[in-house]
Order: sequence, then C-alpha cells, then structure tokens
Amino acid sequence: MLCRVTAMALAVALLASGCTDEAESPETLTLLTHDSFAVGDGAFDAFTAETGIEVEVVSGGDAGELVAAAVLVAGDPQADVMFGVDNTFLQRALDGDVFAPHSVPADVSLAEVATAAADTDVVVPIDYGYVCVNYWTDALAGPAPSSLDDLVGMADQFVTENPETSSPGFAFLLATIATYGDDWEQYWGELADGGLEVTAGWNDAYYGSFTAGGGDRPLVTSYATSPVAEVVFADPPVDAPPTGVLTEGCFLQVEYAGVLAGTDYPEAAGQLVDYLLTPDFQSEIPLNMFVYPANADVELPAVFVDHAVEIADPMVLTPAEIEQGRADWTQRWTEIVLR
Amino acid sequence: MTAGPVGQASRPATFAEFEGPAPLGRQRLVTAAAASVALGFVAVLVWWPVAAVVVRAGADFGSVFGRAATWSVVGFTVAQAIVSALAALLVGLPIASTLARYDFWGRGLLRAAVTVPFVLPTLVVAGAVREVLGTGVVPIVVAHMVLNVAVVVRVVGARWAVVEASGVAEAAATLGLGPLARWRRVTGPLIAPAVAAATVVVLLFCLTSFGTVLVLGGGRRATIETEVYRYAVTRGELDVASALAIVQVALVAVVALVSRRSVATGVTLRVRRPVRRPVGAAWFEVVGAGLLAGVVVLGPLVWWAGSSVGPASLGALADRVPLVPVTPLAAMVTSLWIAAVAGVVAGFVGIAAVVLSRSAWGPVAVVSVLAPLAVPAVVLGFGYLLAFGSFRGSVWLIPLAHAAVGLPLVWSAVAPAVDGFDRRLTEAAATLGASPGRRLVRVVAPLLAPAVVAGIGLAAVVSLGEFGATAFLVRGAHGFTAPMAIFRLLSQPGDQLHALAAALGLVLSVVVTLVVALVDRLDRTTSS
Repeated sequence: MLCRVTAMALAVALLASGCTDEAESPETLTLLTHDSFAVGDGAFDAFTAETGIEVEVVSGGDAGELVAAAVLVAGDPQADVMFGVDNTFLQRALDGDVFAPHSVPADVSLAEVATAAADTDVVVPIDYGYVCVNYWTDALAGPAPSSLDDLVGMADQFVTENPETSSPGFAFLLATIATYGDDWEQYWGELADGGLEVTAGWNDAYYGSFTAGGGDRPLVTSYATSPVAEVVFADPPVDAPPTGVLTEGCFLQVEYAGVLAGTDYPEAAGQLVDYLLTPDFQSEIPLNMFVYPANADVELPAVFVDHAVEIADPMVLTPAEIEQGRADWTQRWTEIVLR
Repeated sequence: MTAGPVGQASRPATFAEFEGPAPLGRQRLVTAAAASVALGFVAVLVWWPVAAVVVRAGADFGSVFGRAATWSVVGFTVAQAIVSALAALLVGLPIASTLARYDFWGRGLLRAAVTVPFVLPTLVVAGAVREVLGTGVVPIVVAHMVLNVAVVVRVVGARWAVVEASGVAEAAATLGLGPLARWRRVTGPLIAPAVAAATVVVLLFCLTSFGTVLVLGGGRRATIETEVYRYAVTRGELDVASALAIVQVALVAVVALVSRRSVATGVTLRVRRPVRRPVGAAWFEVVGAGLLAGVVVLGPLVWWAGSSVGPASLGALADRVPLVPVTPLAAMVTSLWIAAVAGVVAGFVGIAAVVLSRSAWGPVAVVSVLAPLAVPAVVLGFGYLLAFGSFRGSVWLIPLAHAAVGLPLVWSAVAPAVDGFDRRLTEAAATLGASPGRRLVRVVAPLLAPAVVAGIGLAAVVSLGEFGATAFLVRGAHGFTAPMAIFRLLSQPGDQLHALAAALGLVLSVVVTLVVALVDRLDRTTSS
C-alpha cells in the first residue's frame, strides 16, 4: 500500500515537473498564418539564436479561413501565435476571444498609419498597405482613371476580386462604401452592367485576367505597392513599372499578430510576437510581402521608396463598423454583381 | 447504384445459419458485437453530425426561406439537375441502343469508354471540361453528362438487351408493324421503366453535385451545396449553412422517396450479350455511338491529358507550388493512406452491418447502413464541422467521413455474397469435426473474402475521389488530399498550374481505374 502511494506521488511529481519544465521553454513555437505569408529563409534565425526556440510556420488558408478556424477553436488553439488577421477581420477575432492580450513593446515606435485602422491593445500591428486599383498603362483604352467614378465607364476593362473570398476584394468594397455611402449598391450595379469581371482571389485576378498575367483586362484591384513588385520581378529589368495606381478610393489594410489564447507557452509566444516587430523581421517584409513594415525605424529598400505610390488620404472604417456591416454588404454585393 | 440487397434481406438467414451450428450464447455475443460496431459507427459518424446540423438550423429557418436568393439557388439546383439528366439521356440512349442490339469488334471498349468517367473523381472531369469549355451553365451540364452517361448506358442498356433478346420487336415486325410503330408500341414502353430509373439516378447525382459546380460555376452559379459551403466556410454563417443543408437533405429525400419504385422496377441487373452483328446501315449507328463516346464523353478528358500532361508536369508533381500547402505528390500520398484507412474502416463496419442484418436487428441494420446514401457528402462534412469542431485539427475525421460515405458500397458488395453463401459447406465442415473458429477461418472467410475486398476497394475508390466532405475538414496541410490539390491548382491562374492539376488528375485516375479493375475481377470471381 505504502509502496503504491509512494509510486503515485512520484508519478505526480514527475508529471508536474515535466509540465512546468515544458511551459517555461518550448522547443518549438507554431506560427499560424495565411497562404500569402512570405519571408526569407532565415527570417526566424535571430529569434532562435536568442531564445533557443524554433519557429514552425503553418498555413491555415486565406485570411478569412484563418480567422474562421481560429474562432472555432478559440481557447484551445492549434498554434501559439497567429499572424495575418487584418483590420477587416480583426473584430471577428476579438469577438471570438481568439487572442490573449499583448501590447507593443515600449521601445518600438510604430508608423502612425499602422495604428490608424484600429484602436487595440490585444494584438499588435505588423505591417500595412493600401488596396488600390492598378492599371497597366500601355494596355488601357483611353486615359488612366483618376477617380472611382471613372471606373464605371471602364468596367469592361476592370477585374476585381470577390469580397467574400478575397481580402483586397473586400477592402475595395469597403472603399466604395466609405466613398459612396448608401449609394454603393448603385455604383456596383453600374460596374456589373458595364461588364466587370470578378475572380475568387487576388492571384487569379492579377496573374490571370489582368494584363500582367497575359489577361485582357488592364484594370485590377491590387495594392499601392504592386508597382514595386513589377519592378523587382521584371525580366528583363526595367527602370519604371508598367503599372500605375489610382490614388483615390484606396483602403488602408493593417495586418496584426497576437498570442493565441490558450497556448501552453504564453510567455514565449509573447516573445515571438515582439520579435515580429524587431528590425530583423520587419526588414523582411517590404520585398517579400510588398507591404510597409509597421516599425517606423525600419529603413525601406530604395526600390520600394522609388516605386511604391504614397496614399495620402486612405479610406478607413473601424473594425466594429466593418464586422457589423460585413454579412449584409457581401450578401447584397453577391446579389447585385454575381447573380 | 445497386438495388437488390435490400429486397433480398427478406430471406430468413441468420448468422448462425451460414456459420453453422454454434452455441446460442456465442451467437448473441457476435450479434451484440456487430450491433455495437455498425450502429455505433453510424450513430456517431452519420446521425450525430446530421443532428448537429438540424439543431443549428432551428433558429434560422424562417429568415433563410424568406430570402429570394435562397429560392433562386434551389431553382438553379433543380433546373441544372434536370437539364443534366436530359443531356445524359440524349448522349446515353444512342450508345445504350447500339450496345444492346449489336455485337461488334470494340463493343467492350465502347462500354468501358463510357463507364470510365463514372468512376473518375468528379474534380478530374470538371477540370477537363473547364479546360475545353471554360465556366458557365453549359460546362456544368456537359460535365454532369460525362460523369453520368454510364448510368444511362448501363441501366437502359441492360433492359434494352433483355427486350432485344426476347424477340418481341421482331415478332411485331413479322406482324407488319413499321419501325416507328414498333418503337412506339413495343420497344419504347418496354424500356421506359429503365429510362425513368436511369433519369432519377442521374438526377440525384446532379442534385448533389458539389465539386463540379464549384469548379465550373465561375463563382456566379451556385447550387444548394455550394451555398452551404459558402455560408459555412467563406462567410462563417453556420446557422444559414445549416438551414440550407436541411433544405438539401429534404430535396434529395423527396426525390429519392418519390422515385423509389421506379428505380426498383427499372434496374435490371442481369446483362445479356447481344448476338446480332451490325449489317449495312446499322454500321452508322455503331460508328455514331463510337463518336459520341469518343468525342463527346471522353473528348475533354483525353484533350486535357494529352495537351497538358507530359514529363515536365509529371516531374513537377514533387515540387512545392505557391498557395498549395503541400506538393501534389504529397497530396497523392495522403489520398492513398486516407483511402486505405477509409476502405478498411468501411469494410469492418460493413461486415458488422451484414452480420447484424441476419439477426432480429435486420431492418435497423439496413436502414443504418444505407443512411449515408440519403445524406449528401457536403452535409456530412458540414455536420462534422459542427459536431466535432473541437477535433478539427484531427486528420482522422477525413478517413472516417470517407468511410461513412463509402459504407453503402461495401454493403452492396458484401450482402449479396452472404446471401448467396452455401451454408451446407459449413455444415459439412461441422460434421467433419471442424470447430466454429476453424470453420470461420477455413471455410467462411476464404469464400467471402473476394466480396469483402471488393467492398473495401469500392469504398477506397469513393475516398480517392471524395471532395464534398473533405473540403470542410481540411485545414492547412493536414489531410490535404489529391482532389483538394487539384481544386486548389485549378483555382489559380497559369497554364503550368493547370497542367500540374491535369498530371495529378491523371495519376489519381490511373490509381482509381486500377482499383476498379481489381474490384471487377473479384466481382467476377464471386459470381462465377
């Protein structure tokens, strides 16, 4: 009897020690992110060198799927840190208690724009960009558009993404809602009647139907920074991008990272989130994901500075407004444009 | 679709009867074990998810039915199914007629040519049709026709061959009826039940077509099932998705119930080989049927494989592709192990169900096992999402879902073999002193093994092509199957990616065809 009690006590002690041991320093942290996540091979080396923790990057579908899945398993997550929820999905994640609060380290100064889309101390902004209509200068029939109104007459040259399945598509819908208010339905009705093309995702719009991919549409919903990519990936090299940006009706998109509520290693997960804001990681962002780093102290590459189009006055809606309107807006949009 | 085992279950066979005399206690034990396996599986992996959908839908029914958009989707679902069934008839009937009436060189080839697309994964056919015709309503109908023309050819052809062999048409000719009158008054009415049965079966397949509409609808065309997916996965509105799922189950159930009789009376299982050789003008029919099968049915598939698949695309299967979480080859490997697990699980549960059906529990077993037939795969996958949301990281849900979808096929393979089992063999073995265990291992198992393996093979084939339930259950790289990879590749722009989809589709099709060929061989072994 005594023997059994001793054995049990020993087992409990072993288990307990095993648990605390693990909780303090995991061997690996899992970073859950979306399909479009891209950084250089050694992007996490500095983190591993400093903490001894490896980082495993797991893709969970597009940004929408990522959030939907995270909400379903909130509190019992498949990963420790999630990166890639943007201001258009942020409220859903916050309402779903996906994240454990984590704030920006005191020594990091953020770009003003990075904090403009949402007022939150649960997640931290990592990068930002602008969703804007791009045009392929040489392929346009007529002059380049200078306003969202101009697009109506050019709808048969325009390809955009389904706002239900694509985050730039949704951001562009939000830009039209922010611009036109209640008249947005009429605006889209005119675009649809004019011969607008809709794809499911950015990739099939930009590299499928847009001139860049050999398609026959010279207008596409993309990013203010897409011309940078056109220069970086040009073969043969070019001095100026073949594309231009409609600077009106752009929507500010900020991507956030946070500690997933319920992770076994909240402390280490917090360290990883902080690492995403360090210059080591932030400098990977511009030429891999073609958006701006949130850390104001990170220097931008020259090609980025030269060819990214500055957007002075982007459209913004609060995450709460977006979440409240989303279901009805996308439903109405589907009825107006697709059915 | 096999009708038969249900009707044949009326024969009062007990497990003991085919197993030979056994102590009553042990027989009860066997029945209890079978009951817990079969009913437990169906309860947890079919009824529970369906119940989860029903519970979830409760609150939102009113608002979903109030929307005009809902009714336009229901309308399109029904309309495309009807048009698709008519298209399958239009192409299938001439081929059925030729196969039923003439014996000629290449007849087997013609039969195989129209049958192959039926067993191919729907996404492969959809991808091929999209490559040739693009997206829209016409491609959807064409893909459904290609997939289902085999149903018309098999079901109507079998009946037609029987009518032909009976000689009634010739008798009518002798009595002076012209060709048109013979068709209208004799042959037509005799094959009509088979035409009706085939139409209903095709209609049911097209009502529950998911991947095809997703790939070929171009985002503009939606059926109830693609809407369930859109609301559940894309929009995250689980209540609306649930209400739509119930609408879908009800629609399928109504069509199935209303048409039950016509399927039961219209399906002829025994096929007679015609004896007449084509002479003169009849050759036009043969050539016409060959062209229909070769160009209209197989054309898109051959074109896709021929124009896209080569050493380059096959070699690239092992490479990573942007926006696809695993390499196409890894997806193929995932599909293979999932199919193996799903097949074995379905086989195990299927055997238990057959054993159970020979007991006093018979009707319960039959209803349980055939239940997944009434639940579209999309609804099942969605139900898993609701019922087992917290296990969603678990890759095991996918083979289990596949096993549930494949269960009726295992039944259809195993039940007739058990029905046809000659119990005198075990009795003889018992008389010779063999113990019950020895009888099971040496007599029963070897005789039933081919049917069981065939059933497992069929379930594996279903698993290899399964997309509707899988689409709800795959997260990231876990359980990312070959059909998922084909779907992801097809939704990206670029000829290279589409060629890769074609190459993976070809590999998947070859695997599926090999398994089907194996099943076919086993089937012949069993029946001979």
